[in-house]
Amino acid sequence: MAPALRILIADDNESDRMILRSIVRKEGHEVILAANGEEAIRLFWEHQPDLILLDVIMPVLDGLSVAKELRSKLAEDYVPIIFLTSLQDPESLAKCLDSGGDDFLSKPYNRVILKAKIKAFGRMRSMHEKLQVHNRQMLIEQQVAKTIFDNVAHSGCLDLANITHSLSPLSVFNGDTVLAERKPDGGMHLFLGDFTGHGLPAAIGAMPLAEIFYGMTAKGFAMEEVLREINSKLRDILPVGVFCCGCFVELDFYEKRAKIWLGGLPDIVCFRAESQSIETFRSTDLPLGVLEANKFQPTLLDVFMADGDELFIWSDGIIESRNEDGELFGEDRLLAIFQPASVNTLFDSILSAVDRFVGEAGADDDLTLLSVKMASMDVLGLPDLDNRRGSLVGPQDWEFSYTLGALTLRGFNPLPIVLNIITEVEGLRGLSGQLYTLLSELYSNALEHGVLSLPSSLKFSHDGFSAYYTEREKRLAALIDGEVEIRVKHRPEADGGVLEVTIIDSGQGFDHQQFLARDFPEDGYSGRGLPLINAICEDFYYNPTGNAVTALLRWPLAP
Amino acid sequence: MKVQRFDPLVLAELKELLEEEFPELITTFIWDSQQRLALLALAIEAADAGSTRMSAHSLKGSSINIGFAQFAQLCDEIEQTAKIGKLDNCRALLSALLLEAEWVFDHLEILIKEL
Repeated sequence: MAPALRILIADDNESDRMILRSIVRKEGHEVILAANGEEAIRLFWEHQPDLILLDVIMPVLDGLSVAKELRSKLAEDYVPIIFLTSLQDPESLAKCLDSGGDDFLSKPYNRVILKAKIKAFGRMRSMHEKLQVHNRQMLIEQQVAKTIFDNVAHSGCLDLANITHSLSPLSVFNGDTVLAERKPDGGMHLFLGDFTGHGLPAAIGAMPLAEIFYGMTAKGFAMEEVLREINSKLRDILPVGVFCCGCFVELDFYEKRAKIWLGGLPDIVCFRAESQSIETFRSTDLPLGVLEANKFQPTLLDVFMADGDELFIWSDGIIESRNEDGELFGEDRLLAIFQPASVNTLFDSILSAVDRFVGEAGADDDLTLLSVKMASMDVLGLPDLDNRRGSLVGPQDWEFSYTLGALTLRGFNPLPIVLNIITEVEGLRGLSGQLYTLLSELYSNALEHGVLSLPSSLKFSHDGFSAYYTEREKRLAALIDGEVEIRVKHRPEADGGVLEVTIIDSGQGFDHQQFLARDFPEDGYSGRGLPLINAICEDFYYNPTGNAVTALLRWPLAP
Repeated sequence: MKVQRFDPLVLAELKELLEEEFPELITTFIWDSQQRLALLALAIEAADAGSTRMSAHSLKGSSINIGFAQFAQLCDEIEQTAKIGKLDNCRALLSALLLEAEWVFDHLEILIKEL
């Protein structure tokens, strides 16, 4: 036996009401009677029936108006409406369905047919109710998933002044993600990703991506290492056909350089503040998660960016927005927005242009846009890499020595590992930004001027800088002999400790006096770490040969 | 179109369905129809096409449900005639309907007394 329903009968004929009431009651349902449309609406809200039998022509308010009124207010709840009618013409019957009715019952009422219809619509209503329960459950789950995702993905530095981004509120389920984090050396990593597909599969891939991005960036890994790790992780976990188009940017605020990797995303734009012109960069690489780890060779573009120059990165959602005629927004419209006059509001101009274009058609919520400006380090400040572990114990008295041979020196960056070991000391964790800069300054001096014997005089202009790096790569690739040893030692003190870092290279030694004597050059590209070294180190000295340097740091730092 | 004047099967089914409420249904129908016939006559008198259609339509519905097809047919003719605005023609149809109504009511009253 079908479950009993509560059924509202609205008919202005008393005899008809009596007949319907008898039929419906005999089937075991509860009956509520209304004699006109207005009463029907009042009783509907009062009794919340499961189904309505509604006469079309009634005084005060006719059945069509009742149906319209109820449908407009019942957004999610589905209450079937069966019109009672002696109308026969197709037009009138069609009107009943247009107004929100689900079916008709013609006079004279047939008990068998009415019974069958009530049963069928009762079933539909209960299916709808189940669907609603599932829907609500799904929404709750999505909210929880979004919260978790936000905690993982948005823990970075997206709120910094030089970054602007737009991401749909439910972007976690459209597969778009935007990440940004400071590097320990003061630089920054940014990532805009667009997973294929929508919904859960896309969201799931974004989680390990964000974890790897933030984890490795904070530990000082270089862009290429982070990219490789993300690629191989995604390749491992994602099913075939799901991958992540993305743009990875590494900014160096000291040297005013951007390294850009683009895989499968639309061209990105660099707006040059001084010339008010744009430059575009094209993707040449495959998206992340497609290639096996050993076949993944990211192409990194090296771009000089003056302060104020701005990079614009977007997912294809913007270019593929459609207006009411189904026309694509397209790249031409997008690039046309970059007019000199609109420079201060470019970001908003893009969004509002897409918005206007899409118009009533409604955006698919896929408009992900990210822009980042080259800025002065004075504006940004050093990264604040918090100690999030809250543990007070840790290694206190320890030392190690790590010697890197020629083959290792060619392509391996030991600093993240070394920094990791050092920042196991809780008191040093807050200094990891400064420590990284200290280590990288000492290490690159040892490697470049020591092992590779590169003269620092090579880098005095932009050209010189790139010449320097070309030479560096050349000598590194050919390196057969040589090594760098990193010695680190820590001893506890009353309420802190002393860290001693010594770096010894196999080179001839270089004129460290000159290095130490140089002031911080306004426009220079080397020696930027010296003021920092002076600021945090209690002692700092080279051996007489100039191939071993020691830095002594006592913490907590004197205020 | 000639229709069967009334279908005794419909009334028999209703009797079975409503059981002890059946006499009440019949008296309700008679009383309700009398009210509506009066309203219909007034509407035709006042040449109010809208009210004429409404009353005729309502009478049509309830009489079909009781099984009086010819009565319903006359109501339908009045409804259709009012719809095209020929209120004069409705007067003639109304006389026929009133005659049919008397027959229907008589028939029903006898039926109740026999119960």
